[in-house]
Amino acid sequence: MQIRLFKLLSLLVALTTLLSGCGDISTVFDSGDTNAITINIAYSPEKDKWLTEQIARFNEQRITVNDRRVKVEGINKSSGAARTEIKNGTLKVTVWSPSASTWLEVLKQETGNQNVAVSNKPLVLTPVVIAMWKPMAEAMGWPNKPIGWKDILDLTNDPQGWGRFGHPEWGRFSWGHTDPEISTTALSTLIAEFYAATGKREGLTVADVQSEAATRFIRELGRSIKHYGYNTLIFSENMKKFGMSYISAFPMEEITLIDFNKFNPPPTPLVAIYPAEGTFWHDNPFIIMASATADERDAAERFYEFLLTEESQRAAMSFGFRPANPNVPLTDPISPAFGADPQGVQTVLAVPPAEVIVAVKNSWALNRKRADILLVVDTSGSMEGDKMTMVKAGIETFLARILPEDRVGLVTFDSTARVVVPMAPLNDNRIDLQIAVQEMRAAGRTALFDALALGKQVLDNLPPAEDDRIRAIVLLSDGADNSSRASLDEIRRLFDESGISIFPVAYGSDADRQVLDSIAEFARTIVVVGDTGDIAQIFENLSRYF
Amino acid sequence: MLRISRAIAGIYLLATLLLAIVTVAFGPVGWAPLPLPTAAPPIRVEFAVSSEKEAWLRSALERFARTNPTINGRVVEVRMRVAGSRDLITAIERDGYQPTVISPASELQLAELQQWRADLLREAAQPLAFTPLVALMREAPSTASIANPWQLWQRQLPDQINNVRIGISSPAKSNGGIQSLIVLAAQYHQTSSLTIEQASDAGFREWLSQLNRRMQAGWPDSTGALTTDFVIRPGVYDIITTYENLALQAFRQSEGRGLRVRVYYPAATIVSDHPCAILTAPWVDNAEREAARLLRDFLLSPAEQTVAMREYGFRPANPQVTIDLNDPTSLFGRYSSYGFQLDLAAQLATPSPEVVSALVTTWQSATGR
Repeated sequence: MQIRLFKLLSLLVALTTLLSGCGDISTVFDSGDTNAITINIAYSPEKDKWLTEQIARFNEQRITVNDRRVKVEGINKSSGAARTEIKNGTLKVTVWSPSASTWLEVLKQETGNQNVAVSNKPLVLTPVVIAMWKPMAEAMGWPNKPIGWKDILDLTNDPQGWGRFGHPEWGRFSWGHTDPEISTTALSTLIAEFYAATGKREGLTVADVQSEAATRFIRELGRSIKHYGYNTLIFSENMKKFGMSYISAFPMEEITLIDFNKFNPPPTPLVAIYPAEGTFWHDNPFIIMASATADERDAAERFYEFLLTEESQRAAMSFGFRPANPNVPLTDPISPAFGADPQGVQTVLAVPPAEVIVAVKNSWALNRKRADILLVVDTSGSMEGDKMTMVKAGIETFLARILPEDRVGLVTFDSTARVVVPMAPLNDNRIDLQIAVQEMRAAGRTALFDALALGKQVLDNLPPAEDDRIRAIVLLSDGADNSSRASLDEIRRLFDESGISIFPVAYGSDADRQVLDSIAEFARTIVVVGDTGDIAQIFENLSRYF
Repeated sequence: MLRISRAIAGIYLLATLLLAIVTVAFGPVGWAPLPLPTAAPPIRVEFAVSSEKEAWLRSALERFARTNPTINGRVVEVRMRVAGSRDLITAIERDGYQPTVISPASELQLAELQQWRADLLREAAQPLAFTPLVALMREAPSTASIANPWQLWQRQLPDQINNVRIGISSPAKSNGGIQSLIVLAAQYHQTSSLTIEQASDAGFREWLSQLNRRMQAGWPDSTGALTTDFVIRPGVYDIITTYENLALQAFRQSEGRGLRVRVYYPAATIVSDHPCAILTAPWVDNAEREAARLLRDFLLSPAEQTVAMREYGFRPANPQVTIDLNDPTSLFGRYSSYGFQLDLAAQLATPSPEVVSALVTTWQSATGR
C-alpha cells in the first residue's frame, strides 16, 4: 500500500515538475487578455478574405508590446462609408485601410483636420483598369494597341456601335458605373475621365472639372452607361451570368478582374485595359489614426510589419493583390492567364489635391445620366399589412434620393393595372407621388404581367428628353401573379431589346421568387429583398442604380 | 531503516510537489518560487540607425546575437530604432531620446548634432559603409529620349522634363533629399564646393521653384520609401534620386516585377559614409560603451562587411573587403552592367552645416514646404 502511494506520489512529482517547466499555465486556460492592447482596423471589402485570415494568424501568435498582448479586430467597411462614419464620429478605429489614400485626402478636406492620421503606408496594391470582354478588347486592337477613354468615347458616339470594329452583332457599346460617393473605383474612374477630357496627366484643377469641355466629355461618355450601381458586385455577378450581352466593359480594380476570371471562370474571360491616358494605383493604405495611444500605435506598427512579411504578402497576391513588399516578386495570378498584365501600368495619373477630388465627387450629381423611372407597385390583397407598410417606407426613401430632373411616375396594380401618377420630373410631381403612395390600399388579385406591359407603354409613350436617359421600372411586389391576361413569356418578348431595365423588389417570405427571378433574368438585373434588414439602406442602394 | 528512508524520500517528494504546484499555479516563465542566484543583468545598447540600413542591420543584429556577446559575463542586448537620418537627430535634440550609439546616413547629421551638443561626440565616429548618391530611371516611353537624367537638371530646364515624373525626397526630412539638393546646387553653380552665397542665390531659388512645379508627386519624407514606391508602383515615378545600395536592391526587386531600370551617376556625386558614433553622453555608462564598441567591431568585421556588400549593396568601410564585379553572388557583380560605376569620377566636398542650412531654407522658400 505504502509502495503504491509512494509510486503515485513520484508520478505526481514528475508530472508537476514537467508542468512547472512551462511556467505559468494559467494563460493556457485563461485568455490572459485582460491587459491586452486591442486595436481595430476598418478595411475595404475587397481585402476581407485576406485580412480575415491574417488577423486570425496574427492573433494566434500572441505578439506583445510592452509586455501586453496585442489583439486585432477587423471591421469590413466600404471606403466611402468608413470616411463618413469617421467624420461623424460614429466609427472610431486605430487603423483605417480604405482602398486608396484618396479617401484620407477627402477626410482631411471635409473635416478641415490635416492631422487626422499619424502615418500612411501602402499595404497591398491594385491598379484601376477597364475590364472588357476579351473578344471585344481584341476587336479594338488589344493587346498591341493602347486603348484609352478617348477610344471609348469614339465608340460610344459611333452609331454603328461595335460595327465600327466589324462586329455589328454586339450592338452598341455599353458600360456600367458605380457611385463615386461610396466607391473608390468609381471615384478614381471619374477623376481619370476628367484627366482624359483635359488631356492632362497631372495638375487637374477645380476649373478643369467645372469646364464646359470636360462636362461635355463626361456626359457624352455617360451616354453609353447602361445603368449605375452602388457597388461592383451587381456588375460582376451579372457579367458572369449574362456574358457579353449584358455590358461591354466595366471599370474595376485589377483584383476584382482577377477574382472574376479565377474563381468560377466564365466561358469568355475579361481582360484588363490599362487606359492609355493613365490610371491610378489603389494603394490600400495602412493609416494609423492620430487618436491612437502610444501603445496602440506600437501595436499597429507590429501588425503592419506582420502584414508586410513575405508570407502574408504572398497570401494577398493569391487573391489578386500586388504586393507592397518590394522583395516579393509578381507571380500568378498577376498574369495574362487571369487577364492581367504585370507591366500593364505605364502611365499613372497624379492624385489631385483634396479640393479637386471633392469637386469631382460633387460633379457627379450634375453630370450623371438622368433617368426615367416608373414605379410599378403591387396593391393586391396579398400585399396587405406589413408588406404594404414596408413598400410605402421604401418608396419614401427612394424618392428622397432621386434627382429632381429624373422623370418618375406611378403605376399600381391589383386585379388590373392603372397609371396613378403620370411620368413627370420629380420636381413637379413629388407631392402627387407622396400622396398617392400614402393612399395605396391592398385589395384584389394580382395582374403583375399586365402592369409591366402597361409600364412599358408608359415609358414608350413618354416624349423624348433632350438627353439620353436610363429607362427603368422598379417593380415592388410579392410576385404571385394570378390575374394577368399577359404571360411571363409575352412580357419577356415585350421587353427584349427594349432598353428598359426592370428592378424587382420582393416582399414577404412567401414572395414568388421564381417569377421575380425570371423577370430579373431577362432584364439582366437583380432581385432586391425589400422588407428584411435596413429598409432605408436597401432603397438608398437601389436609388444608386439610377 | 527502510521506513526512515521512505519517510525522508516522501518528505522530499512532497516538498518538490508543493514547489512545483506553486510554480505551475503562479509563476510566469522563468519564475522560481525561492530566490535563486540571479544572472548578471544584461547590458542594453540602444542603436539608432537610418532607414536605408535597416534591412542589413536587422539581419546583422540576429547574427550578432548568435555570437552570444558578453562584457564581463554580462550579456549584450541590442535594441534598434529606425528612422530618417534627420529624424534621429531631431529625436535626440527635441524629444529627449537617449541612444547609446547612432548611425545616421551621413556625417552631415553628426555635424548638425555637433553644433547642438558637441559633448556627445567626443569619441570619433567610424564609417560603417559608403553609398554614393545616384539616379534611377525606368525604361518607359516617357524616358526613351533621356540619355542621363542628371542632364535634365540644367540651368535651363529642358522641355523633356515636362514628360517625366521625378521623385526626390524632402531635403528638410531626409539625408537623401539634402544630398540631392547639394548635387543639384553644385550642378547649377558648376562647382564642387558650395558657399553660403551660392546656396542662398535667388537664381537657384527660382530654378528650384520651376523644378518644384514639375514635381507633382511631391517630395516624400524618406528616400527608402521613395525607392520602394518606385519599384512597387511603376509609373508614379520615372526617375528618382536615391542611394546606390537601394538602387542595387531595386534591381533585384525589379527583376521580379518585369521592370527595366538603370542607374546613373552625376558628374560629381556625394557619398554617404554611414558614421557609427558611440555617444559620450551622461546616459551611457562604461559597460554600455564597451558593448557598443563590441557591436561596432562586429559590424566592421570582414565577414559582416562582406554580407553588407554582397547582399545589401553597401561599399565596404573595411579595406580588407573588396568589391568583385565578377562575383555573381553579390549585387555589385550581378548588376554591374546596369550602369553601375565602381570608380566615381569626382566627389563633392561635404558642405558645412551653415551651407546645408542655407540650402534647406532656399528650398523651403522655393517650394513653400
